[in-house]
Amino acid sequence: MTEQTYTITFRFDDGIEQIVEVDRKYPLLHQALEQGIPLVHQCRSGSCGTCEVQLLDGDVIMSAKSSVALTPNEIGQGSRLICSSYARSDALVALPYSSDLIYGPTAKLWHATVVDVVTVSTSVALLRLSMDDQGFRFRSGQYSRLHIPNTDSWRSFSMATTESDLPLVDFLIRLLPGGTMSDYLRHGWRKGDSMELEGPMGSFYLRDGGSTVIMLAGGTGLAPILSILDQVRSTRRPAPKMLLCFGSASEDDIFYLEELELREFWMPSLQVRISCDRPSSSWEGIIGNPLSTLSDADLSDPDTVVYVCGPPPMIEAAHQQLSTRKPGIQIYNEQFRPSSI
Amino acid sequence: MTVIEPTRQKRAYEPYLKADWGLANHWYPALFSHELANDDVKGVTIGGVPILLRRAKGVAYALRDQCLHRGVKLSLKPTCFNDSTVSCWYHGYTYDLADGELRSIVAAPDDELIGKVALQTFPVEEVNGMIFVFVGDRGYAPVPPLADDLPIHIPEDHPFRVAHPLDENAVILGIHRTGQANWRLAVENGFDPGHVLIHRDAEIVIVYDMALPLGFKPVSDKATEVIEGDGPKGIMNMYGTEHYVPVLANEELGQYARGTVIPMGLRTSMYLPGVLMVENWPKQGLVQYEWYVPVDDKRHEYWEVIVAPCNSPEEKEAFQREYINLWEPMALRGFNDADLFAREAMQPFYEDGTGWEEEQMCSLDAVIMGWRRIVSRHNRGILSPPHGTDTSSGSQE
Repeated sequence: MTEQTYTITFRFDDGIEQIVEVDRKYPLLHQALEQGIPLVHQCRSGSCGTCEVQLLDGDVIMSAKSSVALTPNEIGQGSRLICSSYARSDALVALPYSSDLIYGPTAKLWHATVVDVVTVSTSVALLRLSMDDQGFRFRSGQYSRLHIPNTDSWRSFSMATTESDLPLVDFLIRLLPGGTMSDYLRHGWRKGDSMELEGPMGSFYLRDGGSTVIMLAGGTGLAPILSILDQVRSTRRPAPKMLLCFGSASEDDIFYLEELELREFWMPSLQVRISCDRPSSSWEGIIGNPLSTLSDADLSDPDTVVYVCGPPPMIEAAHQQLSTRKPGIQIYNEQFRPSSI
Repeated sequence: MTVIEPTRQKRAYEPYLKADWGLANHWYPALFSHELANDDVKGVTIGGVPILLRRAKGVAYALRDQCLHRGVKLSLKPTCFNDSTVSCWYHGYTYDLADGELRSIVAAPDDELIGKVALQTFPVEEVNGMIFVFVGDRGYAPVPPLADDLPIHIPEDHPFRVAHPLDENAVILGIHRTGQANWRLAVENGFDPGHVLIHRDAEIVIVYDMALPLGFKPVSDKATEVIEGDGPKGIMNMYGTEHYVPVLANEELGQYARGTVIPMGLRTSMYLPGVLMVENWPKQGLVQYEWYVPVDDKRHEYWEVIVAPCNSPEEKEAFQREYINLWEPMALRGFNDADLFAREAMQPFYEDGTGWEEEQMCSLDAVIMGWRRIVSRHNRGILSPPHGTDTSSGSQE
């Protein structure tokens, strides 16, 4: 005899929905947790009230072992404690919190102040902002849209620092001839300028897992990679084996060498390889692109995770080559395209 | 090692400057074995982490000293109903000693919470009369051996060989007390080659006519040796070699080193997470080990022990007699009280961060700068400021 199952739709208060198939026998909470959906709860026995939700549609009955933190009136009006509730039909349940709590922050509009602009190479500038608002949070690897002051233009850039550096946030910006942001950074900026920021955005961010973490960065693709690297450095203990391959087409575009050297010093398990596609004759480093520096030995750990950030051809090549050399390898990527100015 | 210019040198030890509360995922001494009798419960604080120690069936266990229910320290009123658990005095939340799991609640033995939550446990190693606890992240694995967080073993054939805390025949005798200074200031004072000056009038120095120099001055980049193979990580002052000159006079100031008996084989070295070895002190053949265990960001627990190799009960008894009547009063207290004084004098400068920015180091401080870099590279984590805990009550209940 097959178990009767029902479809429960959990709707967060920001509109995001999560669907869970449940049976009659176990409470909604327990089955959601088992299926990897970490709904808010605590005591699991009906007494603390933390897991209270609102039943919008369908048949869900309450049955707690001990006294329950809801009045009969509240239950009559649709309140349920999911740790002590059992499905008796398909149902729609409203959760009194946003999906942010479970899935990470959603993009919002924020205000920041320009602290500094520093040239870090002939073609790359560092923009340092201080967030005016306390609540800004992001996952390492994500990006934000910045509103260039005194213009109607918005451009997207990855955060090069981590949450623990807040309220300061750094962005690494490629200076283009005649670009709106580039012009602002070259001539227009003033310390104390206000800047609007929309974020965080993007599904490229540090994931759990990986006893070996390989990071490939092309040009200003180093920004989100550096955020990921620093996040691993401060939160993954023991540190996994790490390899950062950073490269650019021309030597002028290689930057932050001292920063990378410091990180290599601070992390015995990190190796940094710098490469250049078309170097001058005085270049003493590796010639080629970041991907080409990977040996089979680098890829030998079955639990390897790869993060790639750079121009589209670099991403494509990484996927193609790595999937061939190591089928099934886990790759996360972010494409960097120069803006259309 | 590449030469690093001053501004880059400061960035090289940036992680060290952030380690106000100490290093995570390292072995620290918690109590002497004799401080934890069978069935006893005691609380200590290391790096802001409240830790409960319990001895049951002769074995020492360590768990987080904070009940999951309402956050009280279990050690305030030791409550144990059997020898495989420890309970909270407030509502009787009862935790397994080995894995920290909530096994029962006195008035709610069937509660839903039981078996679903657990207190963090900490690995314990008890050796030669000292109880060490591995303080760090829940689930950190693999836990490195205690030996990795202790000084190196001196080879058997070394002319001035001294005992190691883990030696089978080692007898460890000592004290620990709380110092009102950050753990890093205590470490740096411990092996600073210029501070010998504060010890020149110590009773033990005078009575033994020790020829202590005014200070030790490094004269080459080989004056300090970095130790960073597998195992202990640290730095050694190469006293007794041509790389360190014992300074015996300052003519201009009319100061001269006194004493005629040269301490042979005297050498200091410091290892993560902050343990000092002073070879052939307070006399040749003995060794003093010190730990500077962070209690919180303003205090350290200062451990001093003297270790002797004893191969018979008579040797052990003789050492104990010598320790109680001579070394503890004249060395551990008489001599080292001056170190506590110096650390506490530095604390106000560094407490709000000013000191780390405005200190003016000199040539004598090379080993300290080396230490800061080694810690920045080889730490297994930095402890964060704690939340929801009270560290004001002191290092030990």
